[in-house]
Amino acid sequence: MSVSYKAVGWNAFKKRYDLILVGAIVLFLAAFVGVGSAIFPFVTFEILLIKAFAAAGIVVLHFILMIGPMARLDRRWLPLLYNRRHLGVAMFLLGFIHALLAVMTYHAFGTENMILSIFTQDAGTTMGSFPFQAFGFVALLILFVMAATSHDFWLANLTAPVWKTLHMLVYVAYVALVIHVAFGILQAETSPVYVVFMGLGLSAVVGLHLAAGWKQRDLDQELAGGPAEDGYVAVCAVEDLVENEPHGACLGGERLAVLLYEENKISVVSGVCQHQNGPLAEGKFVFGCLTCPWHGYQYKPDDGSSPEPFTERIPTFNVKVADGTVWVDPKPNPAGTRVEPAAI
Amino acid sequence: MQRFHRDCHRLIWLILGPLVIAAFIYALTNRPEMPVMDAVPGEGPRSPETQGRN
Repeated sequence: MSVSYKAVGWNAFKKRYDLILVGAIVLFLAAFVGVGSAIFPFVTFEILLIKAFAAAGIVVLHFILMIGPMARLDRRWLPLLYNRRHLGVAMFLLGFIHALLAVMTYHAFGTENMILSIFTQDAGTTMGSFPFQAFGFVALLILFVMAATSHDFWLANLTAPVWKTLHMLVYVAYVALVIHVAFGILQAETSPVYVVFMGLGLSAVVGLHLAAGWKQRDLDQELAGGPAEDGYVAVCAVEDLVENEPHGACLGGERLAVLLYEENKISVVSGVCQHQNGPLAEGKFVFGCLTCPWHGYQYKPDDGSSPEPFTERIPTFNVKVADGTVWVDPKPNPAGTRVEPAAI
Repeated sequence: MQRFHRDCHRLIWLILGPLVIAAFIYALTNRPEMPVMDAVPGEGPRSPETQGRN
């Protein structure tokens, strides 16, 4: 959360995160090249580098794709989500270096344009000449766009829904990269190591996303029972609420965060963070604010606005308590509108 | 996350998941018996000693 433009809003956690990330990548590359040259001494250094950067990039991409669903399934993974965009930029750089080395090694000495030859030199219809490099090129282009827009500047200017949609292209890039690997190196590689690791990674990514999607599906179940005469809808029983712990509900297709705080106050706000549409009902109540579990954006429960000097705001809902039940007007108030908390 | 993005996520993985696994299995089960990187220019079939290791 930053009130003014900064290239990177550094804090101690981000520095530690990036230090571990860079250290792990350097170790991985060194180990790959070291072990590779020991086992296959006839393989040239540049080929080892091409493979090392590709392998590192694929590992980081799998890690990136697994963090999201893992955090939805188990909150203990949330700290990894906080700085995921730096992982994404690192992954793009690894892929870019791999591509650069591969193009310089395999395409730089022909008469054809280097980039053009990526699409023409391996074009064909048989398995052995499947245009796997074109898939790698497309994936790299997508990853470039994502890395270039992995900043709150673009998030603010594009708006969260557009930015989010744009960054869902990572799944297209992932499919392109799986095809790039499966129809490229795995066609030539006799060792089962690559096949096993790629298969495990693929299964983990697909399995975790399906599992997280299934869990989220339960949370999207609409509330039973229609609205009362005054239009209010029962969202939960008061006894379901735990003080200072947001409670999630789904109303009209969107999620709400219901909060009991200061002993007897109940407020209801949108459950969607304005930053990256994070799940506010899965966050914590910190310093009098509902705090998004993804990146720590905060909102006051009575008016849905961020504490000064921040300017983010989310819609609020009129709320009342009757017969031990929390009732909510399904029509949201404009973002930042103060609503008197219901008292119990 | 907004409902639209949650639904998109589910739809994407319900479709892409099986598809990408199928493509992966297809690629593996159709590997040439003597794998060569003939997609890469300048590399032809190699001797059994170096087969597929560069």
